[in-house]
Amino acid sequence: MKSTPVTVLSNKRIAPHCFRMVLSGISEEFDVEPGRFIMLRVGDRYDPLLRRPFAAYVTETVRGKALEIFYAVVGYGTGIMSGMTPDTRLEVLGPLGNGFTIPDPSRRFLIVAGGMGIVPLRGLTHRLIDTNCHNIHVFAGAKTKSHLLFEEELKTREISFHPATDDGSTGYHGFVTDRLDRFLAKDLPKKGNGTVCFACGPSAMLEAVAGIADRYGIPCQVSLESRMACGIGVCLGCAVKLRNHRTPGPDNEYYGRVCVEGPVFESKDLVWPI
Amino acid sequence: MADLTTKIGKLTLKNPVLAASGTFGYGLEYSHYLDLNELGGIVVKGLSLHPRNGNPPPRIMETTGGMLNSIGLQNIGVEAFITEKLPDLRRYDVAVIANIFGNTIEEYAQVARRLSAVEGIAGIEVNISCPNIKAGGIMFGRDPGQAEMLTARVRKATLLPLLVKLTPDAPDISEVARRVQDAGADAISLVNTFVGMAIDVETATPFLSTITGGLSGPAIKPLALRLVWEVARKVTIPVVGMGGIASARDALEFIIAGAHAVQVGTANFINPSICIDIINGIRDYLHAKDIQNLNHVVGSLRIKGNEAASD
Repeated sequence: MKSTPVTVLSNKRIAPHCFRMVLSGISEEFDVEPGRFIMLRVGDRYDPLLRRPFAAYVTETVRGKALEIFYAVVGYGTGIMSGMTPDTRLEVLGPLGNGFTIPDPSRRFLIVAGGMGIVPLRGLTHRLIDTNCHNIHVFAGAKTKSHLLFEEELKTREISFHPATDDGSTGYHGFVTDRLDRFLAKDLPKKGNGTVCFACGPSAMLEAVAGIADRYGIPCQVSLESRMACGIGVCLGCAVKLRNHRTPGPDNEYYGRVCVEGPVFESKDLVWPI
Repeated sequence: MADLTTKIGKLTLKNPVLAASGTFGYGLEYSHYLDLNELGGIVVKGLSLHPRNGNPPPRIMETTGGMLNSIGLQNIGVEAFITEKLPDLRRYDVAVIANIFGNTIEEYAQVARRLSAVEGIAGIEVNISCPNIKAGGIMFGRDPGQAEMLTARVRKATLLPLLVKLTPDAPDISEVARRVQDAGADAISLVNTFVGMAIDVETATPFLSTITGGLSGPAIKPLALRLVWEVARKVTIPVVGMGGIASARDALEFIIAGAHAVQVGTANFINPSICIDIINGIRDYLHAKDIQNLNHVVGSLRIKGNEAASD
């Protein structure tokens, strides 16, 4: 696999905290399974030095297949990205990592997103619909109504959409995890029940989701975010503590790599808090 | 075509570009991105007698033109390397150099002895320069006496070509290099990372869990180059230069300064096939300058007037 040269097709703010960038130049074979990611080189010099990891989504444009990424301006690299104009040349490495494992379509799917965490889950949700899953609940937490991403897109026939905002400007007034907990308390008196959960968001939120899922006996996959230098498993910078279930006792914890063993993990394999 | 081979003790490398330890995994990870057979060599991730978990996250932080890391020498241990990685590595025609470290001098010797007993290891690089572990590592590299003692002990444990990787954070790196040479090393690798730190001003906390970490990348290149130039003049064994190399021209600077070979580290993270670009770039340079042999470039620095002039 080589680094792929790509060109910025468009780069626009779509919410107070979020930009959408579309990159053309990928081959027709290029595909990103939901939950996998790409490493984007921001420029061709050494500043910024490292590539940035992004959840990627393959979309159709008038110029053929393109990569769609969404980002918040959180630092130096994303700050530079926010000022990029169409035709800027960048480089993409990927797709990388392990994505979501999708069980059989008859299950009920609980998708729990916090803030920008909705981005990889939106790709997952589209894949679920494409593979004939039709019992899908999306719990989307955001700061305000205007920070809630993909609201229109995710209000489809197959999806029950449950927003939650910090200020109550739409949906449930409070944490998305509380919304999820209430939903399950009312709805799932007995354990198991064929329900599966997928979550992405801030680590405190993921810990809460993992706790709720565990309480109801629901298998839960979480997608993690981490600083990473390489994205291909060699720098060991994106370490996360995992539990080896085969080795009981205190020595069963070890560091795995978000970029190779993840970024999607079974929540029971992670040592919380992360 | 120009001759790119270079010698490190009795070890002949097909070209002077090695992938640096800690940036190239166990080599196999990069087989999707480049032809490992084309490399001058691979220095694998530091190996210890027993597996190590490494430091808690956060472990890395980008800085201007560089990155800080505090991985803490996480590795699978020498036995797992021999049984799980080496059989696959042996299928390639590339010099595999095992980077080793220990908590004690005796542990270093044990790891070296174990690796000497197996097929497929071309050399050993002794890491006395890691800034991110509590015992061992840099503690041996800052003190010329300790460095000498450790090198002599490892020398007794193996007949393989021995490289000793030095820290730039020694009070007198040339003295450490000389003593390591006297103790029987075949080459000096320098530099490992510089100790640095970065602070999140929003929270007034360090970005790394260990507060300080090792700085690498283009930001350190001028500092590393100066140390390589200085040490290469003071030892008779070959110097393997590294520190921020990200292009053929960077590599050539180190070679002109006196390095017989170079290692490419952090740049592998940004462009996984960069070692090949650098090898090709060196070949193009020799061709353009009509130089038949890389060795004619080694230490070819020209200084106007007095060749010993510095300041």
